[in-house]
Amino acid sequence: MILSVENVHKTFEGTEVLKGVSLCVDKGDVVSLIGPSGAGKTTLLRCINFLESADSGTMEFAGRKYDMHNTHTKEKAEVRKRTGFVFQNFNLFRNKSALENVMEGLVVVRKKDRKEAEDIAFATLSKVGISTSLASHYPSELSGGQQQRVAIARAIASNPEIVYFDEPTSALDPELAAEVISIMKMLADEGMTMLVVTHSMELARSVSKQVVFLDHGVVIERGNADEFFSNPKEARVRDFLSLERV
Amino acid sequence: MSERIIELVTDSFFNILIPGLTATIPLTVISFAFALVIAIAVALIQFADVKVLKEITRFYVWVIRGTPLLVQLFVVFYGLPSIGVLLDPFPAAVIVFSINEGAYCAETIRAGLEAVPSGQMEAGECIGMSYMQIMRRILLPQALRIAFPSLGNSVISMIKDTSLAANITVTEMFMATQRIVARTYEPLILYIEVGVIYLVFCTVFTRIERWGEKKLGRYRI
Repeated sequence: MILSVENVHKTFEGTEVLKGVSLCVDKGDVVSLIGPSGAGKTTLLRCINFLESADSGTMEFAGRKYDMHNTHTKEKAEVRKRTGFVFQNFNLFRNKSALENVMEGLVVVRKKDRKEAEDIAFATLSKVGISTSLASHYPSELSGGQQQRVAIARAIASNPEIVYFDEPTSALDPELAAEVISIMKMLADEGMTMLVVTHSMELARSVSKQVVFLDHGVVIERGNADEFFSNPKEARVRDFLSLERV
Repeated sequence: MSERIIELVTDSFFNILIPGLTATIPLTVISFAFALVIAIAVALIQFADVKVLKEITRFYVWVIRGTPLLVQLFVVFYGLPSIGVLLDPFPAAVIVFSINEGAYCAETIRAGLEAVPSGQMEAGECIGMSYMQIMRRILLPQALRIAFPSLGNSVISMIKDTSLAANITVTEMFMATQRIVARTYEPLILYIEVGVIYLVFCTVFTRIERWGEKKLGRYRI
């Protein structure tokens, strides 16, 4: 087990978004977090990477325990150095080229020399299908699909123990989403550990090994992906999936 | 008549231009450089919401923006000697212009920082960068890029505002012109002449600003 969170609570302005959610991810696992809008999926993911501070909850990551409410800046940095995060709207550094986006963490955080960082960045970009000629482009010069692939390269360049994806295909049209899904499928096949928040059932079906269904801040059902999609146990999940098929 | 005008303009030209190059431009460039340093520091304090310091910087911006530049020049140059602080005209002007311009530019840069989407900071955090690393490498460059046209505007205002330094005996372009007028009694022609030279200076700086903007334009904000 690489990651487990227990009993996570989070309230935004009087609305309880997470009501004691627990979750664990094994090494090499690909877990999809699905559920209707407002279920708290993204909030949970953001709490796990400390972008939001949970009201309470504990986390165990790579054998160390962390308090998710009072997390020290050093602890946050320690965890983040070993994780990757892919955003819905990419959030590539706008003042840096695709290559520099991928190099940034390697040079600034990992203190690799520029040549080595550049080699790693080129290799990682080519892995996600970004050619050397595109590497010098700025984010504003790339399509959404290309930007998201660069963002994935940025997240995986430092060999993280786990990569978090926050609705990685939601801002993309179906064609561009397919590009991103195929990259994620490749990473899943390579054994990359991933926790994926998504609204795309296509993405959830094609990459995940485990599925967690969240509604109103509570886990409704969890289980093996094949079983989950072919034979969901909870009525709420059946409703949700049947709508999805229409 | 027209011959006399030509003679007057050519005779006075270098006497006006040289103080422009040795006083007006250096005063602008040096003061603006200091102003930028002050402005970035103030903007960072306000953006990061540093407790007591933030109140101090707000007070500073409030006072400076709420009082005339001319009054500030007089306080420093004519006022401070009465409590034992004696400054030469040029350094006094540099201090006042830096502090004055710093307050305005601080607001511009703070607005620039606030205009950078929060996702940029989050992306930096997620790859493990520290606050200062993100600020220096990601947020500030983008904020300055956003603020660039406004800052360019400030430089151009400042070129013209340096003429106020004549009031504290800095021999810059305007004072040089006043002296020639006192000698020749030709205010119309000479003041138009110095105005034209200011116009040329501002045009050059505008061109530099445009060029810089183009240079920076490759990444769109």
